[in-house]
Amino acid sequence: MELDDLVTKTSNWLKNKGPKSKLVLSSRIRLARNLENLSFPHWAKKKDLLKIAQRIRPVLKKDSHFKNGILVEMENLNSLDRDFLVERHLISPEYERKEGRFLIIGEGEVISIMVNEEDHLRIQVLESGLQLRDCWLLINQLDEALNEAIGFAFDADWGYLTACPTNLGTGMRASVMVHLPGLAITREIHKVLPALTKLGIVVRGFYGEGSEAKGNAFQISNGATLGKGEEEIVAHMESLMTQLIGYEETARKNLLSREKNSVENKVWRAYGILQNSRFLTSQESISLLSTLRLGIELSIINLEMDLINELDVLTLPAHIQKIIGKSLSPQERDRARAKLVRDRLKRGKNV
Amino acid sequence: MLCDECGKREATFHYTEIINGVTTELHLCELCAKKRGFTLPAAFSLPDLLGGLVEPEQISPLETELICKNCGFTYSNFKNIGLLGCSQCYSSFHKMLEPLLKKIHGTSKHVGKFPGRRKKEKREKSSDVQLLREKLKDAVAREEFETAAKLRDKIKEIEKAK
Repeated sequence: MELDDLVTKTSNWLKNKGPKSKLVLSSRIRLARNLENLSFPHWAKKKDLLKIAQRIRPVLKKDSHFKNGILVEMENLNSLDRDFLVERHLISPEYERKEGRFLIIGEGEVISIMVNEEDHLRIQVLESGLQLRDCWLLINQLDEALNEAIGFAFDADWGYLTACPTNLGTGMRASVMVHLPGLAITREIHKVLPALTKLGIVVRGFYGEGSEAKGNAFQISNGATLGKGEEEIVAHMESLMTQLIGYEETARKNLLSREKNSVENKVWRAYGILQNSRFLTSQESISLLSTLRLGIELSIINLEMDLINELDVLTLPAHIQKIIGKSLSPQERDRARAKLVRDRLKRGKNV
Repeated sequence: MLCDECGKREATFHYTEIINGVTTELHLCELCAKKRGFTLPAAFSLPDLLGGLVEPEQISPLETELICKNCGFTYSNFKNIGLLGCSQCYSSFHKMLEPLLKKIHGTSKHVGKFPGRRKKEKREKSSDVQLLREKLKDAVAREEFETAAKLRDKIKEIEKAK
């Protein structure tokens, strides 16, 4: 498989399959791992980086998880493809396009590993819905196998040794992407998010969006990596998420009982704009798609959720350009985006 | 809306970051966004913040000269960028890092898994009463009383066995 094959494929995490997938868009766990005694990527000389990559590459290529996978050498990547992989949640925006760095992606984009990003290895498992526990089981098994072959830097007191001390210990970040329009519209979100922060949880808006977190999607992840076990972090996150989902469901119920007409109006107007626009900015489409998503979940409108999931990603700037097959100016992008949305909705799986 | 930076071109790059309630907004045209070197931005840098956590008065001039024998990275390098040079740096700068880790994580003891063959060490470690006491103290401080009660019972059990 090649990188361009991904454009028309749907990543597993977008398939809307996992438990609670109505509200929880995706679950992700990543582990930071390093080789013993070798300089971390930011400090390593070029020849050392190449040596590290050479040591890791055959191990990953041999691993069954990457049997039908894709290996991307970062130095060969153009900036559009880089942005595309960022939108796909497969690499970080900071990952440099230089020698000695490569990304390997397993089938369905569930497992991926960045080699020589901030740490020698950044292992990721990304799934749809609330499946942190399954993500953990999978990543733990892969981690053990890789450790067997490579041998990771570890200290009995401080755990896995990472380039940045904020990742020390488990080296684990467990995060969940949730869609919280109910809490956002009722403004309850301003109470909920600070409370989560107090519990050592880090909250971010999705797709880098606004004070209203355009798209109402939030990324929620564990803060500390030291002093808590992996299973404990996963269990803690899952129970918090269950609670959060409860709050969101209550907020939606309240919203429907108090402002049904206004919510219906919002949903149908969003649908109208998406069906008819000639220009659509990325921000606007994220926000309108979120409203449509809410409409589907509240049974106001009858559309396939898969369609929304797909559009959420396909309308991002790099995806639009990959679909058209060339680099576009922002205006051209907005026109192409509007057309793509119109066409998909028309072809529509609206029942 | 015009670009915050040049004020000439239309801003097409809108970035708002809310991290724990603090909002930063930026509206740039594509050119200025590129000039600033980001497709997706990082408005603040974690390493900088980390470097700031290292209190200057704690470090005598002599200690800032500390250098990791394995990779040649210095402690002042770490203060500047918030990243270490290699896994050995953790033992080279052990004394200075210990209090910093407590500030970041609230503790400086790994309780997660041990890799592969070292799993045995973990079992020995988990019966360490000293460690359990520390965990108990943490649990009480965090008002996690259920966990605290479990830890207390475990300590009692081990002490009885002895």
